[in-house]
Amino acid sequence: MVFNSTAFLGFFLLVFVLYRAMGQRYILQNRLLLLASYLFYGFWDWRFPCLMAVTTAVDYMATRAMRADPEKRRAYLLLSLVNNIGVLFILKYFDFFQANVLSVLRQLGVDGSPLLLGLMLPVGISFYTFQRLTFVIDVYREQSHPEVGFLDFALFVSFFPLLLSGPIERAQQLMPQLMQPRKITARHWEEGIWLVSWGLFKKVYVADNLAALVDPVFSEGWHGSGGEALVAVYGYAFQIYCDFSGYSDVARGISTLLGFDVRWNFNLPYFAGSPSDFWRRWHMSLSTWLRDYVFIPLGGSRHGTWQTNRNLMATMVLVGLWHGAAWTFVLWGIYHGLLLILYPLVSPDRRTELQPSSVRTVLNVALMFHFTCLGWLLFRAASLQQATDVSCVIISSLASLNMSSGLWGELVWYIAILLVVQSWQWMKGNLFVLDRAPLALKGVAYGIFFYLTVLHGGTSNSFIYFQF
Amino acid sequence: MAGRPIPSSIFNSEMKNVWKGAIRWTVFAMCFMATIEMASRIDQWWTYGAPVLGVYTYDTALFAIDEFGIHGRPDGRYEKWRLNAFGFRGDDVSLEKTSDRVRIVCVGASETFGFYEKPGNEWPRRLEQDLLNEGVQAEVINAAIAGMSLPQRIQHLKHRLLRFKPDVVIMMLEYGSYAGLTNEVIQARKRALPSLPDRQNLVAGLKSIRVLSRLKDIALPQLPAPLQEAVGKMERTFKMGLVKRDLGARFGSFTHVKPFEVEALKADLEQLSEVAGAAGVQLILVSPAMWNTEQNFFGIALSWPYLNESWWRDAQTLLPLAVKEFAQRRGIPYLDLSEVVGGREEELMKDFLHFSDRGAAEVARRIGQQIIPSQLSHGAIQ
Repeated sequence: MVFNSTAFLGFFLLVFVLYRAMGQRYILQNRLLLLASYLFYGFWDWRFPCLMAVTTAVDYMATRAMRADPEKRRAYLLLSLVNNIGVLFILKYFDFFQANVLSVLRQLGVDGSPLLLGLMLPVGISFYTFQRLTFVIDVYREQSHPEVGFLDFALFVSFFPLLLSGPIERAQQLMPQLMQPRKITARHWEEGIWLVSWGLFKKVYVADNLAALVDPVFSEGWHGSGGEALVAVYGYAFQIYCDFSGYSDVARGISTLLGFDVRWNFNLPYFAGSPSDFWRRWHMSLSTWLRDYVFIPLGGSRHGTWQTNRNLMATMVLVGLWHGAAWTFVLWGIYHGLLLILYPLVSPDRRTELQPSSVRTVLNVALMFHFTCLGWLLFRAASLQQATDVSCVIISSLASLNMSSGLWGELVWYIAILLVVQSWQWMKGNLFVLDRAPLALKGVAYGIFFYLTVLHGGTSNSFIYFQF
Repeated sequence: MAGRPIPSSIFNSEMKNVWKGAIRWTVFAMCFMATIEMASRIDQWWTYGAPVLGVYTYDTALFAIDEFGIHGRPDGRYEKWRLNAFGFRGDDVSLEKTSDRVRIVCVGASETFGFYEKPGNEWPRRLEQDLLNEGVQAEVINAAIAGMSLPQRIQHLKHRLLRFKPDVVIMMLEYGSYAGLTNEVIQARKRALPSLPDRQNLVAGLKSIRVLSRLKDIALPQLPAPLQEAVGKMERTFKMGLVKRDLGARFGSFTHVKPFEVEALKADLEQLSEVAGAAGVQLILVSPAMWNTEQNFFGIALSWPYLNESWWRDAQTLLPLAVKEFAQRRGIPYLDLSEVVGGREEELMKDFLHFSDRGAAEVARRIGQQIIPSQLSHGAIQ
């Protein structure tokens, strides 16, 4: 059951009506949300909620034990890490790890037969595992968290709008909201409806339609022109952004309609002027999670350039690995690590005598966008070989690119409205700029989003980030 | 006695807020609705060349009426339906016939014109493909018009089709063409005027909001099957209510096929045969298939609201018999599609009268295999 399905619409309407009917009885509402969240997850596979329940119970007991016996909290943290990272490793990384180890052993002349686990990767496991860890680590650090019951903790982990693809919410942010009545005001309604509409437009109209331009180029045996490949690379940049940020917006919108304030996950990432700016705008809930729980504990930028760069690279490799068990993801992480390390050294902005200008800002944005696209090529390709092949096709035909091809027209057609709205948001510095626009303009904008989403949307039944 | 008076300032400010809210939502809703309707119109203009401000319905986009009655609009387009320069469904044809090709003209109503089939799958097009596959150099013209009665078809043949010098005319008959043949209606039909009941204003009004039907087409298949069925039933009941209100006691008032109706059919067939014979055209008659289910009868009642279910059951027996007798008497090849479709309606039909893709293919196969080769062997087709 995905957000862009009629099944989810029916499910949410039912939950929402019952939720509203409970008024301010927030404990009852929490029980309803917990039940709904497990049902929602169970629609994918009945085993997924079972695994989530067991691992949640282990973490809950670990945090209880930490509070009860602070002396042994390191041991309980270890138990929780084994519970979280161990399960994630077995389900997501074991085959990748094993294949590489066997490959190295073969190079050394040692033959080994692979152990085939054949396990299914539960959708969203990376998201809720990281979300759960925020609570465990906070309790370990003795940061103030009120005592919560198991059912509230289970809801924090499984809250259905955030369950499958985040945003990865922090315990400090979400838990207090679970422990008190939620007030739904006109602001919640307006922002919630805007976020759901805009998110669905990005996912169903932009991302799903762009998939038709992108997928053929990255399919096996593709032999096309450089123009097609370039359209596919640009198209993928917008596809993955709209797919993921669309999901995040809908998740935020649904949470807002239920009275929760959930963190932003994207802030116009393609308007970033540098790699560090990009990571402040892209998948913000993951990048800040890694900053707070990996980069800073490793030493952050407190111990000189070498250690800062080492910490940066380690964090970015982890970002790559978080996305999937494949070398292309690892390379993508390394690529972004290198960008973060090298860009400040060569950026003209470091020369302080240069005055900021709008032309330079635009040039920086354009340059960073192309660096990002290059990264996406690695990210999207099934293998390094494919990434190289597609790059070669583009480079070899750069001089003779046919810009008048219908594919360019299609690309522009699908992203035009997105670019107009986001440029406006960027210039005004307000992501709700359209929602705050005059009523008539708002009616027209919602009409266009609705029309294109419902009557010209793609038909994808999944979200790219579900696989991560 | 009186309750505590409401302070006028509070009353005013509360009322003001209510009014403000109502006006805000009305403005928003109007802009929203106007945008999606305009987007739908621009979309149809871009995709199908539909007029942005004019009326754009199946009937108006595809058909027109002149002194000889209803005909296809040259180059008419409505969604999946495309007419050629002569107003026939399919690719362009030349007025001049080439001597090495058998030219076959198919005349009928919506089941021949093609309704549910994907473009290119309507039975005349499949027939052409089948014949070409069999090595028969054939050119099939689909000259059917949805909702055309037999008298109208005769006018159509006489004034518009014979100039194409067809070798064969396949006439697919359908029972609805004989509905309510009072003398008045017979005269009206002979003048080739459309005799459909008046359209309900409300339905027509709703149809003019183009985005509604498009949204319905998208949204309905997304619903679970029982809900789809319930919505479909609700819609039919609503339309039926309007039809019943318009027709009053005349609704379903034709309970049995009367002898004069059978006589009128025979007279029309005589005239058809004469027109074809005078032009030296081989005529082939085909009786339609009909799928009797409760839901289908519901649909029938909307299209032919004068006719009762019992009239249709009569027609299903009596009219093909009359056509068969006529064909035998005149030595005209005849095929009864109820024998082809019988027992396989679920697979071959989509509703009471129209074929599925598979149904159209089967009809084409049977007409191609049973009728055309026999005509070839008899030398009727050179």
